[in-house]
Amino acid sequence: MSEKTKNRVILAVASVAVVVIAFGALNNPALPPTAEERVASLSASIKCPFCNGESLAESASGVAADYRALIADRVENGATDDEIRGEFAERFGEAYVLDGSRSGWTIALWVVLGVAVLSGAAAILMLRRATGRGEVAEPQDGVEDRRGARISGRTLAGTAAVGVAIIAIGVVAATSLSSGGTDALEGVAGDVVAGNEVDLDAITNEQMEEVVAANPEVIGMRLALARRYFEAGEFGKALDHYFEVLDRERHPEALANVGWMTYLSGEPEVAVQYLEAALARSPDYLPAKWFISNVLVDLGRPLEAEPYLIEVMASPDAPDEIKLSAATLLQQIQDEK
Amino acid sequence: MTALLGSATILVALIAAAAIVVQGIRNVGSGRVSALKWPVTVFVSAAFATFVILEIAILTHDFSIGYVANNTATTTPFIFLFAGGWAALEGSIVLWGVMLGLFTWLVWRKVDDGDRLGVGALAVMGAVSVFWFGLMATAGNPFAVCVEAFTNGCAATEWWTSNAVSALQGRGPNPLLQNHILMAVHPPMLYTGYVGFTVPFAYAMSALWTRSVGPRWLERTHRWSVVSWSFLTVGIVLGGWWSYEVLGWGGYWAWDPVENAAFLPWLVATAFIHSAVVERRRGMLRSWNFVLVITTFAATILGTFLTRSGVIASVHAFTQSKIGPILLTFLALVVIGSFALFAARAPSIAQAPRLESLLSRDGFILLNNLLLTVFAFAVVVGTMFPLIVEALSGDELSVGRSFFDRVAVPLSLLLLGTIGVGAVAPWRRADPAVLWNRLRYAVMLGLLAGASTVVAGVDSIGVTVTVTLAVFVIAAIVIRLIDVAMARPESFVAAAGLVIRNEPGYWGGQIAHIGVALVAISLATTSGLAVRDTIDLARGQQARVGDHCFVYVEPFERTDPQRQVTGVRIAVLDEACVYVQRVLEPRLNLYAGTTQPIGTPTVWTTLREDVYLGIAGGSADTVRLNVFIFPLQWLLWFGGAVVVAGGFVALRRKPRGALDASDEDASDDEDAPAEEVDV
Repeated sequence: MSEKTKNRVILAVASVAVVVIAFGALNNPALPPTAEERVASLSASIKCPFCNGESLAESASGVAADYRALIADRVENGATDDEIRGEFAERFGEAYVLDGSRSGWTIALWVVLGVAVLSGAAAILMLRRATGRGEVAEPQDGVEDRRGARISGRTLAGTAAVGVAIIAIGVVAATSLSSGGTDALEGVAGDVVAGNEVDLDAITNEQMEEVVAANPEVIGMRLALARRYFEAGEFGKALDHYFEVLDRERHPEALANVGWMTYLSGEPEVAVQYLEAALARSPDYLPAKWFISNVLVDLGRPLEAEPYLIEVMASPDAPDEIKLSAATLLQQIQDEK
Repeated sequence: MTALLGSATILVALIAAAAIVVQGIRNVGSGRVSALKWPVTVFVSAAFATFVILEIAILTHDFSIGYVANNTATTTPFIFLFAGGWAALEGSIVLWGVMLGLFTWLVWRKVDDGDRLGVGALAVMGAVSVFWFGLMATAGNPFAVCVEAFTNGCAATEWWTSNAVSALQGRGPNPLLQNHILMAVHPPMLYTGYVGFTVPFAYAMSALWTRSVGPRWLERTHRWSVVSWSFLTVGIVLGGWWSYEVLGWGGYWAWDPVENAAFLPWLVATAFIHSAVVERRRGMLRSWNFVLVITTFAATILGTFLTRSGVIASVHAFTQSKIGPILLTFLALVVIGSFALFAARAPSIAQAPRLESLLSRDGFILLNNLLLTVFAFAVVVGTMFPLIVEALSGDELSVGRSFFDRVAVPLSLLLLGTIGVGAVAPWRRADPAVLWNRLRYAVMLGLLAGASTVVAGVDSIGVTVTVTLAVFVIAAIVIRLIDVAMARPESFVAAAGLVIRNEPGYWGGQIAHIGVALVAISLATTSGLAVRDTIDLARGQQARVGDHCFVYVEPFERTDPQRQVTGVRIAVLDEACVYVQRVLEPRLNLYAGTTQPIGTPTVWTTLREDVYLGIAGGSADTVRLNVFIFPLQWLLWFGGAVVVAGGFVALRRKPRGALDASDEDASDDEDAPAEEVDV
């Protein structure tokens, strides 16, 4: 067979194959996703609360399974993907919805990437057009050769720009994440930091966020903010702040409330350790006693819970409803004995 | 006592590493390596001893050491006990240190007196070692003594103290880490890769420092780069496999920051290995290679920072640690220091011949470099973006799977295309007719393979396109081998063997490319054609998923020393629910000292597909199962093994006097990397 014939045969076969592939592509229009597919993709795009950054789809925890079931339920009841994602965003914060395309930042991300692609392509074209205009001899090791300096300069400039950008981003990120001064603060926030008496109730969460972001070393405000989140059930945010506190001080409230949230996320053993640590710090801290007795009962260690419950009941500071619950729990334990 | 001894060896190693730096700086002018003999010997011995002492502490259950108390227990099986030496933060730093010791010794063996480049490289390795052992001696001390004990584990530690307390029992490893043997193997592989890139980095810095900016540093480190890259590849594949076998969500890659941390240096290193070939063959890309090797090394530190500092909360990055700022400072020093040195020497890094044509192997490798660096950039930006946005504006957002997938899929397909053409394109300038002759059958076979997926009823265009490109790549390489081998007088098999042996670098690379194509096929089929379902079964009940029927046979229980196993036996039958094909046993493992059982999926692998079952819940009488069917899943692990095999083939030494069998036009540019060219 001559080369020409071979080429013709190959082209003919390839053309038929292309037609078949095109037919396949056109004949299989994307079907609307099934309910299972929607649940799967939604679960993959929502971060599991209390699961250390895993998505609902990836996490094997019971919490994640519950939320997957919730999503399936919402899908069945006719909620759209955006509605479901919005519900999660509202409940836990935007950060729990992966790829939140609702924010302008996502567009910025793609723009940054686009610029990178274009500058890379431009660099290759520059290399194609600009390299080696004229003779360039192989440089010997250890011998300086300045003939290539013109191009090296250009490469250097590009490299330096990238390096500077990386460093700048790093520095900005690092400084914003670490310390900030207190002097620039004004108004209520400044008063709080300066230790002046202010009414914390008058400050919004956003204002408190600003203060703690600018003053990471000031713990009081952060604790107050974390407590607000904790009480509102926004555990993701509460945990972030409590861990910041714990980085600086083993504060009993932070230890106790982290312990309780850990328990709620299905890790009672770890919770006990946090709560024990809280009590080691502050043996009279009532919430820690109440939390640990609940966790111990749940762990099937009621005898260890008993003394804590008695202390809770005996405490003059405990609210009445807690005393009542403690009494009920104690009664149950004694009945089971 | 053990703690004291361990801390002492860390200090000795730290001092010896500092001595390597001092002696290296003093002797780099003369290249007198004998001056480094004692510092290197002491450093390597102390690094090794640190690791051994940590292992002894773990194996003898010395719970007065915080690390041992918090990461191992007396009930932990031996293999996971031993792996406890690197299973958590401080231990992983020790593993890093001992690897550095090993590599410093291997590099030192190859340096003779008068070798300025080698002495400079040893000094740089010494400086890197000072950092890691300094970290061990301060914020990441694995031998910190327990001063406040829980019943299980240790609440607080101190460095030097006589008030040591000992926990009664250790906390044991994270259950996820003791649920599969791969967890013992995967980290050392990955770390060999990570730490291995210190060697090319050290040589590059030494080349800049001693003004030996020619390709000699690349020649000296080529094998190191390939070895490190191969180990990094093994580490990543094993990590994916572990995730698949243990985590139970039916996947192997989630774009988790720790996965990205390993993938990032892999991408840049892959670009580096390719562009190094261009410099060694054609004398081009000198500056670019310095940039890539610095970036690869910086990426290993960045990855460690991301996963170990707790800046990004993730299953891996949850460590609340003081080492974050230290790692960030080191990263900044590495980036600023090495780019400053590079900038100072840049005028002496001469450019050699021009890129004659984009339609050439050089051109395609450049394109591959562009795609890989953009890919790496996307990974680093995607991983760090939430952090940067939060730092700049306080807004919280997450970048997840869909961003990475949207970037990765087109880039990977383009990369596949460039592999196919680039692998067989001649250097310098490809005559389109020659290129067409080398590629025409591969084009036809690729398209036929794509068409056959359509005929077979595959309704995913992603799978069709991937199969087309992957078969094109494999066919292009195999046909090239056949062409070259047929031109020799020996029998075909003997000739093919000779061809590969004569040009191990090139053909090793092509074997790796075939592996990449196989991996691509599996990635496409396991994501595009997977069947996922959740079924509830009562005992004796059956349900159909895909082409299979599942019947709940019975529950079972078993007690191992370290865990309580409960599971269910599920019979897998054919579609008609008539013939039993297999009985699978998905389980839940409850480890001592924990209350949350860990699901252990069970996988039945056939040539056609994996049937993957995991327990998602249930009650006394029913079980809820996650059922996944992944077509051609085995090809992912097999393809990964082929990639690694290619890496190791590329390490074989070229026989003396061997002719270049891969490229008939090679003879005219083989030894002329900087030949004179026409404008």
